[in-house]
Amino acid sequence: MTSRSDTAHWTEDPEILSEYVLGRLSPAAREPLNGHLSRCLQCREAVRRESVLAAGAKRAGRDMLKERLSVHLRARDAIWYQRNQFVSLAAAVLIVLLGLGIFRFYVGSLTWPSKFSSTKYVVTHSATDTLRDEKVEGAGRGSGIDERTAISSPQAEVGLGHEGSFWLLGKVIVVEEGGSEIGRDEGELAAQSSGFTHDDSAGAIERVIAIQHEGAEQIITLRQVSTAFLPRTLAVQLPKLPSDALETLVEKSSAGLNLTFYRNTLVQRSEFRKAAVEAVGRDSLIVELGKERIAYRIPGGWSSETSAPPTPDRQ
Amino acid sequence: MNAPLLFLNNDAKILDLIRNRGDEEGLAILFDENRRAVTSFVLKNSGSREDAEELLQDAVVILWEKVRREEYEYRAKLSTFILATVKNLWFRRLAQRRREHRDQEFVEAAPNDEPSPLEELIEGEDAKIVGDALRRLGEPCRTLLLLFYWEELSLEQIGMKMGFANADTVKSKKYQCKKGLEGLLHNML
Repeated sequence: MTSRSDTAHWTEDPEILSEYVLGRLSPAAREPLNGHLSRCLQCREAVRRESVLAAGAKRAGRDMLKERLSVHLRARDAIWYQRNQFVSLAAAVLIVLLGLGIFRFYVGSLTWPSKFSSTKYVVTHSATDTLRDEKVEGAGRGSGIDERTAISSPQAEVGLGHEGSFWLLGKVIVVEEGGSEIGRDEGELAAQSSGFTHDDSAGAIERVIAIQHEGAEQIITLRQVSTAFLPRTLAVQLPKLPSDALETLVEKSSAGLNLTFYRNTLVQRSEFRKAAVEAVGRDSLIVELGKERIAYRIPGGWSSETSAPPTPDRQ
Repeated sequence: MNAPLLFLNNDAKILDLIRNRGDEEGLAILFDENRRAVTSFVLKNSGSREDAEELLQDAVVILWEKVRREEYEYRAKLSTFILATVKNLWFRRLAQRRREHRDQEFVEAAPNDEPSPLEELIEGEDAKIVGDALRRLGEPCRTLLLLFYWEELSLEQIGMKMGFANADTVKSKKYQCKKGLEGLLHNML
């Protein structure tokens, strides 16, 4: 190798030139070559060109490796992202299902009210054996009630010998002293209805109430009877009912609507005389009875177009 | 039968991937493993996340080159090597920036290991021109020249890798390839 360096221009040997540029030669081997370079302009140019070639090849190699590395990392990130996306989606579905379950358990059914506004509605519980919840219509405008609950029992629509009678479960809300629990002033319900009280043929107390709704008057008759008189099929179900459910017989006729409450403990006559009713929409009613508000959703609506408004004795 | 090798430590697996396969798989593992430490170091030393990514790439490429040239000697964990390389590259880069701003104070704190003349050339415009031309060069010339100049393999090693009969054949082919590259670089350097 060193013998080659003794020739006129060692840079003409491509192998020595490459080894010199790549730094593979020992210091002893480089020394005479450097001596030649100091005197040979053409050789220095050859070394420069070879150095640029080597540098360019190194740069291209590094750049290509970095590009492959970037592609590889992006592909890995994409796979990681896809996996995470799947896990996130599964988690989101789980959370939604959990949320729906909680909502359904604590609030009501998932059916959006069909007629009522989103802010004012009545939640009813359709009373199957399991007391499955069902959201229904909302409160009437200006009622001041944001959310109330009534319980209907379609499965309990046992005939009582004549058409238009069925059983319902009312939802009882106990109003604390002051009466503001459901968002209204005291006496407001009474102001919307008027009525009179008398003893029926069996000696039980009856409260007949006329309510105004959409310009028409509707007669609602309230009665209360001991649960001892409940039909046996319903009496056996009483222990399964929620504590705030009130078994009620609803009778619809051309004369109006009769609601008969079946209670373990009857409300005092003095309280019953003050009972009032408010219509909430076309098919829901709120009965105020002492400290109780009893909410109903009446299947098919509570009003009767053929009802003839009697002239009640006002008290 | 090619039974998969069982590596007792991850470094051995990475080194084997680089040494025997020469692809980027090992580097990707190394990259992921060191990303957090390198980013933390660079951010604490006036750098950005982009600087950290770039430095980490440079560091793993340096390791790759050393392993491929059989210059690498395993003395400490690969992560130690990577972080040390990153620090060195970063301080050198900072020193260069400060020099450009004539900040004597920082130059004094710069590392002593200055890059070789060839390394400095790599960053230059001429090297970029050659690199671009090399990318346009067809195969097998591109691979042959990369193996010779970048990986610095001997003619015998290139012959074995590329399936040439012997070193003389490689020498002859290399001469032709170099002429082809110079043809692409006509009057550009």
